[in-house]
Amino acid sequence: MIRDKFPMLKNNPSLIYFDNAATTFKPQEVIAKINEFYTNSTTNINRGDYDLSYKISNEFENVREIVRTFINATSVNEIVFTSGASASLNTVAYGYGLTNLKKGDIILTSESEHSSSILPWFRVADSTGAIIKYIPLEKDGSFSIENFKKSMSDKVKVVALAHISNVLGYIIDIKQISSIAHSYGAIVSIDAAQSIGHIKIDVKDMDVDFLSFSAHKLYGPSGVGVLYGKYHLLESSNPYFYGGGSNITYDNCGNLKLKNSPYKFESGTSNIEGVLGLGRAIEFLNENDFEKLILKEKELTRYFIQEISKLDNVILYNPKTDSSIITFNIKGIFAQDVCVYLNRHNICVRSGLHCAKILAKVLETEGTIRASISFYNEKSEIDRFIEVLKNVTLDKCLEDIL
Amino acid sequence: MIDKEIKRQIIIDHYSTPRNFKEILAENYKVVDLQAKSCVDSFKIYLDIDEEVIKDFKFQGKGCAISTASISILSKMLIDQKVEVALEIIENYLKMIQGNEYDEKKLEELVAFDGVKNQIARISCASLGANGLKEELKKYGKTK
Ligand SMILES: Cc1ncc(COP(=O)(O)O)c(C=O)c1O
Repeated sequence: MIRDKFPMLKNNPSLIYFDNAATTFKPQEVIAKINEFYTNSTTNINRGDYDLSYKISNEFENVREIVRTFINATSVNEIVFTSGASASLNTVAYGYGLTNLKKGDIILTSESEHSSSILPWFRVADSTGAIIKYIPLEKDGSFSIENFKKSMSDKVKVVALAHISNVLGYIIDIKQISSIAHSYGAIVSIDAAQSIGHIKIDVKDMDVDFLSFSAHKLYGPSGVGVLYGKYHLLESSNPYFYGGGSNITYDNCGNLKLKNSPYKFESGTSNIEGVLGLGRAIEFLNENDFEKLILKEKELTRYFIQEISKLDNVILYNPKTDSSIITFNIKGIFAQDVCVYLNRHNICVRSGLHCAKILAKVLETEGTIRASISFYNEKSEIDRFIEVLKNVTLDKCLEDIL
Repeated sequence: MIDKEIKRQIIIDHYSTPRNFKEILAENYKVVDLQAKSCVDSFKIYLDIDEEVIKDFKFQGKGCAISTASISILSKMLIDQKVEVALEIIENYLKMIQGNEYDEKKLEELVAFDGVKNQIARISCASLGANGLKEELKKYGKTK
């Protein structure tokens, strides 16, 4: 069983973990890989003076190839290792945006973006005089391709969107968006933090210009992520971080020659064990038939929606979700109070606005509960969850503190 | 120690019909902005303080049952109190929440929260209003 490969699940048999959109558990092999680096193979990379460094440098670079294949990029030089999706998204905004945008240019985005996707552009807009515009969402908070088309113009230079909204879980059709955006000469930057572990991504087919994601939502370690960029765009971007081995030469007159992508973006010692762990996580998914795992996840989500829809005390915000994120509230009880109650039953879900604070206006609620599924969840867990949810009352939520 | 059932009633009553729940725009009111660090709870408290007495206390916002009810009870208790006395009540309440010795007599309905100390996750909910008020009232005391 796939569950047996995850120590967190094996060691916590009574835990029901429905917070996979926040982070995922790690397979034993990923943990072993990181452990192996610390116990037998600790070294810095790109200092090929001795065998160990040479070997680990090669392994590290080989992860670029593993990632390249996983997302079908053209070249390993398009794969930049970062500290996570937030760092990748910041690199796009500062690296590409600050260098290439000017006054009056439009950065087009939506109201359901994660703060890591939108806030860097706030700063870029401040510095360059570019303007941020929001594509109006549908009434139910989903993305509207019609509104996107209406929002496009020659002034739009960047389209920055999440592949899957971390609040409502709707998947947007990136291929169509890229094709429209490119016809106006705009570039497309996609926040794939929520999609990378749940959809097979093909950057060539989607024709995206930049794509950002974290390893920790892809069954890999925290503190490491990837920025994919088309090579010519990475070349026309500047790092927002300098130092380390990212340069070829510099002198004390201030002349600096940077390396080419991806190295110019990787100043300082990388999260080496993190990158190795990421490589192992992707291999794990490949070996376990990722596409089949995705299908299982879809089936579980459908079952979850079907069962939760039967409860009278539930307000479901995204019945049409096509990802594994389910957002709801219990009538008359504040989200956090419900989560505390669920926690008492060993169920992990998230309350809050999940960083997309702008969306509060659309949902007309200050807080929601988010459950998010992984392929390692089970139908029986959903059944137990529904049973607990069915009986929740404000009284019960307060039980702990009385 | 009061009965569990009474505590439950107090909290649910103040959560479902919070007292002094109203936005105030008048300039003579001090605004205390409360933003929780780890959840979405967010309130504004409006204080009219005159001659070291809290003449009026209104609040508005959104939060869980515990944060809402605790601010509602505080509003009821602190109107017409001297700043000095208000600070004493708040200090005493925070002591209870943090599991320290406290004087039950001073706390009236706030004793409904005496079980919070056992639930680390809820301490911040129960302290949100009290902490914000304490900061503001301390400041006020000094400038006077
Ligand atoms: C849609 C989205 N974008 C970006 C991020 C940021 O990811 P990280 O915290 O790993 O940098 C998240 C994480 O919650 C997310 O859900």
